[in-house]
Amino acid sequence: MKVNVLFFGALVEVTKVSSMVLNDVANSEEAIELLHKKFPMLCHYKFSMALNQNFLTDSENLNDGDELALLPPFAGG
Amino acid sequence: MELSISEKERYARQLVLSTIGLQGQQSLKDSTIYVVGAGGLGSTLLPYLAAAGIGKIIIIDGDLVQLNNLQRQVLYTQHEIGINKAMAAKEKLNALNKHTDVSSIPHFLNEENINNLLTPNSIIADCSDNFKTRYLINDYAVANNCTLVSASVYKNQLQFGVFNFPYLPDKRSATFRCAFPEQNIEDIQDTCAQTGVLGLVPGIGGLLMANEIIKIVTLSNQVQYNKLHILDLQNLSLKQWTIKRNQDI
Repeated sequence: MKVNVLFFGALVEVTKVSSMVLNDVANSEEAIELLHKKFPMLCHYKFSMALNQNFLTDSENLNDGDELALLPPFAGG
Repeated sequence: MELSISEKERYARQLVLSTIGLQGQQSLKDSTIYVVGAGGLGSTLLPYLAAAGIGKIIIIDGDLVQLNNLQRQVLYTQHEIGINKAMAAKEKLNALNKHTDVSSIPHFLNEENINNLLTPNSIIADCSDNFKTRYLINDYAVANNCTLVSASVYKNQLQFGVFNFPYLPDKRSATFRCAFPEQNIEDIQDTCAQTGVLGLVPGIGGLLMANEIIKIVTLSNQVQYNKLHILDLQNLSLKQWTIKRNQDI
């Protein structure tokens, strides 16, 4: 099972990529745990998550082909 | 007050649009928009609001024009370095459209003055440049039934949305906090001074804000509420996500 993860804004400074594929993650909480292990600096950033174009408020199960977006608020104006 | 012959000539190219027309133009003339921040976003938002015929614009910004602003804050010239941005912007808008009443408030918005400077049931454009002000404006908007049009930038990316919009008489759309409930976000995560910004990115942000404000004022059914958009100017991609209203925040 593959899930495409998108990074935006300052998060790309941490991940150095704007997207990546995660394999065999059951839900969004597990995906975030895995991403924090992979990119420890992520813990310094605040962001929301969206699954398939919808903001998440709780952990959701993931399916093959899902798109998970990590969305930090921007401040600059 | 009804549109004059001179105003009908001025707005002729948009009066023929079915989305504006005489009624929409009158609505623009009768409207008041609060613009918090007259920097990169405000530099394009403000002249397009005035040019479109918004009746009253209130600009709030305590900042002064600096040399390193001119790369993106195209409303100003090098002759205005050191001048307050709200004051300088007011002069530009006065020269652009004598039918728009422009007020300038040369102060930064804060917890002490926000209740005196903003008005309940109004439309507020958040063109600020820090998280503290953004959450302050959102919370005022929610508490006082204001519609919030917001944009913000990070390097080559632009984030924008319409928040707390009354899409039904008794229903308001998701707020900025519904999208980003986290508080106490350090500005170091994200400031133009720290990270840099391509000048035209906030410029496009201001244009998109003006577009949404014109739609809100003219009662369009195409206002983009309950959504967060991110436009990436590097790869020219536009993505959007749906936000649900959380009544608890």
